[in-house]
Amino acid sequence: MIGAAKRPPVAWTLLRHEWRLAWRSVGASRRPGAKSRPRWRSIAAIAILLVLAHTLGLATIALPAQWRDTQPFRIVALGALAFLFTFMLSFAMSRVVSAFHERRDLDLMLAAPIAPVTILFVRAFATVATVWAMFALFVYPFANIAVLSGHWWMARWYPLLPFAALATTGIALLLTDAVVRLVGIRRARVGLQVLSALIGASIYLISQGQNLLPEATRRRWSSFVMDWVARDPWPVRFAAGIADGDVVVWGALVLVSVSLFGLALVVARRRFAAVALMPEADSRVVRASSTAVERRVARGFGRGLIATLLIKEWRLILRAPQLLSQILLQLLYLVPLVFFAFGRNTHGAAPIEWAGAAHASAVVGFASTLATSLAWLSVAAEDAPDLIAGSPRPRGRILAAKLLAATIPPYALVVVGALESLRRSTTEAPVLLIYGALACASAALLSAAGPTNAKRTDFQRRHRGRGFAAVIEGFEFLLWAAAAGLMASGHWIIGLGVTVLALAWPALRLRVALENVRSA
Amino acid sequence: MPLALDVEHLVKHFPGADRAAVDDLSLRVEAGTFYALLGPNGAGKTTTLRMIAGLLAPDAGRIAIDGIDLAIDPLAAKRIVAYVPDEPLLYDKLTPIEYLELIAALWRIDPEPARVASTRLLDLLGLTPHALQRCETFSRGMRQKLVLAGALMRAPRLLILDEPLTGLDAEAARLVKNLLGDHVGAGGTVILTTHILEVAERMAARIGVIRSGRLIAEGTLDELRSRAHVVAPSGHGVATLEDVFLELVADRGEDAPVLP
Repeated sequence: MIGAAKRPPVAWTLLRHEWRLAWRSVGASRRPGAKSRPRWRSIAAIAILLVLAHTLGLATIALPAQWRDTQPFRIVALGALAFLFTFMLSFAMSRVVSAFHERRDLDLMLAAPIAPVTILFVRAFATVATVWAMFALFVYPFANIAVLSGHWWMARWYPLLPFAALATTGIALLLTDAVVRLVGIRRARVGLQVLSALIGASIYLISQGQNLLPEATRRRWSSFVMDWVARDPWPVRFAAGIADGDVVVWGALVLVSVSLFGLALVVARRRFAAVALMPEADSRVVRASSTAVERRVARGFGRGLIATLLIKEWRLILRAPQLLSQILLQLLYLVPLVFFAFGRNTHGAAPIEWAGAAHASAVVGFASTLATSLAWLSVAAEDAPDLIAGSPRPRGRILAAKLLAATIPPYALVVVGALESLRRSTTEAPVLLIYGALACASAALLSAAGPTNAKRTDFQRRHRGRGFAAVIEGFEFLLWAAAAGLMASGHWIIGLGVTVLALAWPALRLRVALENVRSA
Repeated sequence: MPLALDVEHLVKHFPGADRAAVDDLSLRVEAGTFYALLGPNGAGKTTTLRMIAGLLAPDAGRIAIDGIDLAIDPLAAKRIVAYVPDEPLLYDKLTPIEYLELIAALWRIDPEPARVASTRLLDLLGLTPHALQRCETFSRGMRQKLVLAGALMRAPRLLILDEPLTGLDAEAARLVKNLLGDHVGAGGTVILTTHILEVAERMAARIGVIRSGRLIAEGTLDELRSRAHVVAPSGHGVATLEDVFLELVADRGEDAPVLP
């Protein structure tokens, strides 16, 4: 008999599988047909990131030794921990959704002769490790430099991170379970994505939100917060205790982290297999009667090409809440622009032309971002390219209809913004209408010149593998926003200069766009 | 008989590939013919069909559909062709009726005939109960049937199908075969690729065999039998298409013979 080689424990095999997938997702290029990035490139990217983070960490050298006893230290500790916790929780949620509800390998895993609980435990621990590794890249370089420069107490941050990863993954598992129970797997995925983004941006949005308040209220709020911190309440003491390595606080943190993670595993264990294998599609199948179908058929057909394509594109966008939420979340990160514009205007601290400039910037920036997203969806992420390419209609006409579908909603936003601006001045509205149109047209042109045949689900990864072009196009919305702002505030010369800059890249891509249209 | 398809010296080379995907392929299909294009995986069948459907530009050669040169008037050619790809790509978020409405708009089918054809095809293919449901809930077989409905709705003179029976149950496969037979009976032309040789054997009037991008044999089943010089493995009866096909595509280490 041939001696059977000793097999590694199944948990170890699963863990290695998780690790391999996590590593390859770092190095993978999602461009259709592109090969995965070689390993050395991923290692080089991580090395560069570490060097940069250590360089930033040099700032800790300047910290005075007795700084830990001061009030600013407590405030910074509270802020840093709040940021760290919210970002970690947000990241942990996205990892939990990916590991437990998006990857399609659970069918295979659960069909294998492995206890479901082993799969659950391995995935949960792999998620903790991923969350820890991700934040270690950014937090440990600061601790390294601080420890090397004599702030030895910062060494206590090393064990902080694994426990923070344990706690946030535990909360993420519990939240995911609750949302899935509440709304079902399909809606839960969208809901969790939105929740994760909102949690990640919460501190940022709260900090910017105060700009909406009138000056007096803002001052009152500010002094209230300072008084609250000065009274040394428990959250501040807790944050300072964690940052400082207080034994009691640390003990509490470890206990809370382990309990949360344990509770999450106990809760998830009961329903893990059932939830993981829930059908992907909505199982509520409504069978239509022949009469209903005939009625629907009688209403349909007969629309022209442009109208049909417009309706088709809008239906596809509106019926994909996951995509819609991703688009709207992008806009969420532009909210500070709006806060800035309307906030200053509300409390009257800025001259009226500056308020108009900020408003024009915000509206055009919004429109440009929205148009870019929608144009990518309708042009690059066509679900049935063969059907469109095989149709007896000129490619230019189809492309025009698709781009029209992508630019009408953002331009409607511009029109609303222009009407709103009439309350302030009559010069802002034309600027908005012209620059809104230019920004939308630029987004449409760049989309026509860009790559096609992507998948809608790759929306968030659409820039991968496009290098320089993606970076430049990422700046386009800023250029259009700046140009509109400058023109609205009467800075014509600089405004025109920025306009030329904004037009430069689309002009360079014009030839490619035309070739793409003609190539049909 | 007029030619539904006339392909001359077609060549397609993909960047980075060491040999041409389609290599000097010529093919003539008479109108009203059921034509099966067979070949092993990677032989160049799909590439050939995609070029005929106007989805891929050839590097060299000429394609004429019903006498219309695809390079000169692609839109006129596309108007009379329907292509059903091997992967039924649909819009997950649209319902079958919305999908058919899109096709009617793209192919400029008048509203009334479009209504009649869509109702008839949905009914015939058993899709009426699902007609108001989004396609994301559909099985592969249902998707395949809907794509076929979309193709037949255009009443194409040339219907090109790439592995149309994949994923269909026995009942649906029989239905599709009947529909294709009816299409040919009504004067239409069907070109299909399939790995189910029994379908080609029973339905195709003519069969072409591709290997390494070249058409190595073409004719009726009897013509192919005599060309391949094969007898039934048992020694009794006549050789099946499977015997003939395996003999023709057998790799003997030399370049595939090309039809004169």
